[in-house]
Amino acid sequence: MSVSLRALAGLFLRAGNLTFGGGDAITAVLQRELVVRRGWITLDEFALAQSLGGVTPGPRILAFAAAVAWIVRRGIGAVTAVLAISVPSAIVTVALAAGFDSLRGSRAATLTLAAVLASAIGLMWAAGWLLLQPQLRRDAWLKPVIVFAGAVVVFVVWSVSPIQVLAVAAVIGALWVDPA
Amino acid sequence: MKLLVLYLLLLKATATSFSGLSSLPVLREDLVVRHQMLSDAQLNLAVTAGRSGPGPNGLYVVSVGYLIGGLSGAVAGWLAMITPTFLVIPLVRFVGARADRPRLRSAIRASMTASAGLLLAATLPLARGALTDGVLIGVAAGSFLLFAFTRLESVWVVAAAAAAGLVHAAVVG
Repeated sequence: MSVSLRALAGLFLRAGNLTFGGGDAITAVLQRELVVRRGWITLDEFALAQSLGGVTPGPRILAFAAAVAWIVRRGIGAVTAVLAISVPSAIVTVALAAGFDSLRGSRAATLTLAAVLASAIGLMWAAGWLLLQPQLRRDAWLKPVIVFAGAVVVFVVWSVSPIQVLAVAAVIGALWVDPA
Repeated sequence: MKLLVLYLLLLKATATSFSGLSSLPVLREDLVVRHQMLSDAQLNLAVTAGRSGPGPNGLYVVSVGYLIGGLSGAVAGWLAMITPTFLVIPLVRFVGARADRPRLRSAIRASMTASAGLLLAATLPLARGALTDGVLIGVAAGSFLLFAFTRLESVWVVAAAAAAGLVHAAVVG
């Protein structure tokens, strides 16, 4: 599928700069927009970019964005996506750092931000569902359920680092291959 | 020269971390404790600013750069944040060329499933702090339904949430 740089930049501009809640929330938006709504990449390509973004130094979401955009439009796409996702929000962050106290004093701004953050939580729940749901095939549901529940438990109960959780899941996946 | 040092110190923090805020311990050790270029109060302000706006949590590095070196410091922070990002491209090229092997594909899918679990787990403490009344719980639940089961453009859901927050502010005064 041929995707214009303008369309790519537009998506990453919107996802990266209008989404509150950090990298997980942005990943959730991008998953929905790239895989479900636009069909620019497959779920497997999304998973590849997400996995490798997690083992690349620096903010995961930037590496993930570069990986996804590289799949869609190679090097120029990766540079475009990283610029689009990081420059405007960096400017906003500097503005917030410069004038944070005055913004914090506004009740309307506080309540609006609270609602946007609540929406980001709903978005992250949806992202979890959209990642899990396609894998719950009638003949191969046990592995995804075990891996999903196991990841929640070891992260919440034993505070195991995300990198270790993902690595163990990958090993389980490599050893437990469901029939095609 | 100071900007170059600032860039290298920030790059050291971002290049040795694997998520937005995990660079914080290295960054504090270098900039607050060893070089005293920043106070703890300024670091807290930078983290708050990074988390209050849109975009990645790692953006606090840009705020740190700004608080130390003004606008050129912010640019140094931004460069330090994005520099390690492009290491992912050779990884995608290498692994992507082998991604049709069943064992590797199964490993990637299992990793994706685990990341869904991690995503849910990460929202639990956030939800405890953020969903403090019925309106906010309703916004979160409505957003979940719209994101998960419709094809509505994401930005409209976020805009609707912001509008709900403004109405809430107007009602409660």
